[in-house]
Amino acid sequence: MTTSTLQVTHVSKRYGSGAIEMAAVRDVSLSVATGEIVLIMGPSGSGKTTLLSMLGALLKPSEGTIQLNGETLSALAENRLPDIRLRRFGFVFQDFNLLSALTALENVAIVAQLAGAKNGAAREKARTLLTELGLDARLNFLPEKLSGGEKQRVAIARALVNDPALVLADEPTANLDSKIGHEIMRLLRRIAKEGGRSVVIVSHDQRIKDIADRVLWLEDGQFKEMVTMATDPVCKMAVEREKASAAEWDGQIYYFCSLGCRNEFLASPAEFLVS
Amino acid sequence: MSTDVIAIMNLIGLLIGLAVMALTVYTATLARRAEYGVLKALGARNGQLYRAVLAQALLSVAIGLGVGVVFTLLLSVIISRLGLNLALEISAASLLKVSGVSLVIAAVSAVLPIRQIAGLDPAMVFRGK
Repeated sequence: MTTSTLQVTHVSKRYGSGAIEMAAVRDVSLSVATGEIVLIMGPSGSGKTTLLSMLGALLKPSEGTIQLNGETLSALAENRLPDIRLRRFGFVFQDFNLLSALTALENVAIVAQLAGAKNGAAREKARTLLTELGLDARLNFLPEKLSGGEKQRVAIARALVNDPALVLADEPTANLDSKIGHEIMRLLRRIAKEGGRSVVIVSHDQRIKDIADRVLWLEDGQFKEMVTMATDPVCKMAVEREKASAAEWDGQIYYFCSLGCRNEFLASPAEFLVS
Repeated sequence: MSTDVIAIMNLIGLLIGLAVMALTVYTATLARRAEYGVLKALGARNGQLYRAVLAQALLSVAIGLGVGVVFTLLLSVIISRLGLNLALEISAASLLKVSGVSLVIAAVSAVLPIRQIAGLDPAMVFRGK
């Protein structure tokens, strides 16, 4: 029997009050097992970021409970949340968010130090992790000297340095080219399957479906049935066929996130259909 | 009379130096606001960030003071070799005074943006800042 790492029960988040009250997330329930990879997709403004922030103890829900390994995080006092974030969660961001003045090694070590590790032990831990991720030749490089894929691997090492139960990734492949994006996806899968950690990913990237154990569709703040989806051939975003603008070319219908992508495609379809 | 003029110029120089230093420390701290937000999201406590900000400011000032003293000593050697009728001297008392004032001003300039750091919403990192 798989144990449930994360248990989200009837969670809602509302902003404002009275006439201007707006629900960003409505009555969402979710369970993520140890070693499971859950991908949350949905259109922009659907509440994905708000939900991810609540899962990561960055934002308190207006209603409902969030439990991690049996502990109810949503009931904890505000001053206990930093420690929970530091030790129980690993965060991977779209823009990497590395500290520009610190080397790759220091970027990872500082998070271990924040959790109480001594300088030497923190650096050793960081060195081991970065070496495992193939960055042994980049330990003393500043972020500006690293490629996008290398920066994301440093960010992943930083996310793992305090041995978290749950890794939360926000669009982890968005700023990476296709090959590097695949590398990062394989890495996230390894983290879950070999490291025994749960991974929750929020993304528009259809390719991540390949590594996910489960794909959830969030729209208007609620999980919905996965509708028939298509991939915009220009920006590779997931789009709903019903709502997307479409164009026919060579006997096939293509769907687009915007008129900009549609026009770009129609100007030179072959360019986007090569791969 | 000429001693008074030099003393006034000294004071004005010190005040300008302090103002530049205060502004530099203040803007350097504010410029890293987003990075402090990232650290808060990862789990850093406000107290840990305050200590980091203060340590950075004081270290920068200590380095600045060291460089300043070395340059002044070099200048005094150059002036004496040029045979000018001017003696440049650093007394331990004035060095202590300037160091003390500089460190206090640097600490205050670093502490001013701390209020902004305390008010940072760690969830901003998922919203692209």
